[in-house]
Amino acid sequence: MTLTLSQTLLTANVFFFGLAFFVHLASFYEKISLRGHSLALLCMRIGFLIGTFYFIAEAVRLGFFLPVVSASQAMAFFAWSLAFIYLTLIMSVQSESFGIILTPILTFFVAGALFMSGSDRIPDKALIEPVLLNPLFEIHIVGAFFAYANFALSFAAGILYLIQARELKLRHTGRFYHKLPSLEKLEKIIYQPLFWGVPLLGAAIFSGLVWSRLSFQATAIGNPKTLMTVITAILYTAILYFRYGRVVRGRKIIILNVIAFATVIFGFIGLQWIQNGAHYTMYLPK
Amino acid sequence: MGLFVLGINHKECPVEIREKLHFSPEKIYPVLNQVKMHPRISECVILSTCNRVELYAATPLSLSLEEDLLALMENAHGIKAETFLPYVYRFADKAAIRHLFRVASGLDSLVIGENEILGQVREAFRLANETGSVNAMLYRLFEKSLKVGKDVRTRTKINQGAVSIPSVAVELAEKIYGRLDGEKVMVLGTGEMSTLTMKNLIDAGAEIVYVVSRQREKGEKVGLEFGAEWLAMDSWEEKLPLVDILIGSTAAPHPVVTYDCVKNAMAKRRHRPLFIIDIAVPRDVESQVNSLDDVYVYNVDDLKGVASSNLKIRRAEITEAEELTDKAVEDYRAWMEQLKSRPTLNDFERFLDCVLDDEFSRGLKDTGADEKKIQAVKHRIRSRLLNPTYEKIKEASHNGGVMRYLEALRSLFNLDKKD
Repeated sequence: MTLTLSQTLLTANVFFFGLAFFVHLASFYEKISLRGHSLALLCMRIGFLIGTFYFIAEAVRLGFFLPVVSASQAMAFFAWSLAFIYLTLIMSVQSESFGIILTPILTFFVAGALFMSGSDRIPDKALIEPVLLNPLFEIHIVGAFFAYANFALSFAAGILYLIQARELKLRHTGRFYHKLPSLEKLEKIIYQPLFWGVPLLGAAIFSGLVWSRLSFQATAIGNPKTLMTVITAILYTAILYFRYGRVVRGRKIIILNVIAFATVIFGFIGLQWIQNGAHYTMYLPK
Repeated sequence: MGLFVLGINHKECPVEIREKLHFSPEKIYPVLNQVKMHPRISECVILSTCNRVELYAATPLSLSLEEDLLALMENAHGIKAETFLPYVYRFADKAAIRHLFRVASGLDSLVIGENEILGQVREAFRLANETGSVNAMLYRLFEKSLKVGKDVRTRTKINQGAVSIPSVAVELAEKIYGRLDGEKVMVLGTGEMSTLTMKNLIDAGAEIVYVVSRQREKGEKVGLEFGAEWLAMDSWEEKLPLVDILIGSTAAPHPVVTYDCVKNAMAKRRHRPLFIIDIAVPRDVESQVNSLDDVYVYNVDDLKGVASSNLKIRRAEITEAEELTDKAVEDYRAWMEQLKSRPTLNDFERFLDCVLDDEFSRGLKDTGADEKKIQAVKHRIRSRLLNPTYEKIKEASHNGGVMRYLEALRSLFNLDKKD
């Protein structure tokens, strides 16, 4: 069996994200030297670069860039955007414990993309509905992906916050107590991605509505997926308001952040499954 | 040529004797100056801390310095040796090197892995260096000990985690607030432990804002010392929402920090985390307070629990730390062996130069050979004979057996012959 260029790149991507996870794990359990975290970060960066090459290669091959035309590309793009945000936006607050949670997620998504790449049929550019190549639709897609990646990072940090808070509450000074950052630092990792995620989601919703109005003379406002996305945006905006409007902070708001991510999962995966396909397809000719 | 250490420490020697034998910096200078004139001691360093007093000495002779070092101690403090002799330990050569490396690594400390000792070793070395009482042997030894101490702390977790109650309080505060940067502290009571905890918190970057005490005079005095405001016992609750860390250390027979009081404060704080350190016995804080969200209460037993858990982590690192110090001992011992081989190797080089000069001047006389070429050939022969010899000596310095090679060299080439 010969691998295509895309599959080779995805395989290399899985390898480096997976390696980053194992190095993080070995470092966390002190099986390797104290520099393990830096080595894992290097593996992750290499994986991210390979992912970038993958999308460039795909865009060149297909003649367009639309990471939702196949489930494989969608999964790979979600992993890529997660890695992008982690490696760039929250670089200053990176921590070993965070890497240990993130790298298996990245590996899972890219491995899924690789697994599906064999059965996925990406149509030729000529067969793609012209409305899907509209820049507004691309803004909608990319904005939504990046927003969800930000929320995923915030969610992961929220889980770590709850673990550390529990360790402190129970006066249990085990491995997590020592390895996890302070509650204050974790709070920063929770809220920083939200500052990016909320406007991006807003942009995705707005561009999606304008696109559907321009393309089909209809707004998808009554669509369950759109409604769920609006609820998600409201929830995250409320979280930001609670925190920075000095209304309330601490554990309860972190739990709300975790619940908000459940709406993301439901809107992103659950509804797609219930509706049997992406929500925009309802407007396309059968 | 030998190294010796003679000393007393916290393990055997009672504090009453230790304090009598303590060398203040003012006392160290004259003693070290006196050592410079000593007929048998060529180098000396005095390490004196609250837990140990140790005299490190080197001699060019093959004899024990025990009597000399005991006499130094006696004379410096005017105490008879019999007073402290039962507590004295002494090590020579390899054991002395190992002892210093273990001391610098914190492996011989009362609190394993503590950092202060490294600074104290550095200071002892600096004082001796300033006085001129160190030379090649002890200079290299102390330089190496500082490096070993640093390596052990960076490559193992021997100094990880706080192990005293005040430092555990700081560690926990940092686990909640990150690096302390003006976090506000309120203290209930003015006991010795609360003062120590306040000092540690200030050093870490916190700010003491309120000192609460029944006795106004005492409270104001402590407040002045820490730049804090005094509050009466009936007015601190309204200020609680303004602070991040609360230290309870009153002598009250019942809890003074109640569930309702903290609950109200948390609502006003909008649930910004609150850290409560209860070091009072009986406790100052109601036990239900810890059930409130974002409130973290630690009493004395909890703090001791964290300290002992950290100590366990440190203890688990001892083997690795010992391995690192043992390796450093071997390196230093190898260097010492090479140092010992220097006179013989110098003699061998001189012998070789004589032979080469003789043979070349005799054999190439009147041949008109170019002097530059002759020198180049001589240099090549010299290198081919000397380099493998040096290599063998270096190798033997790690594996033992340098003396055998040196004796062989001296005997084979008759190096002891004066002419």
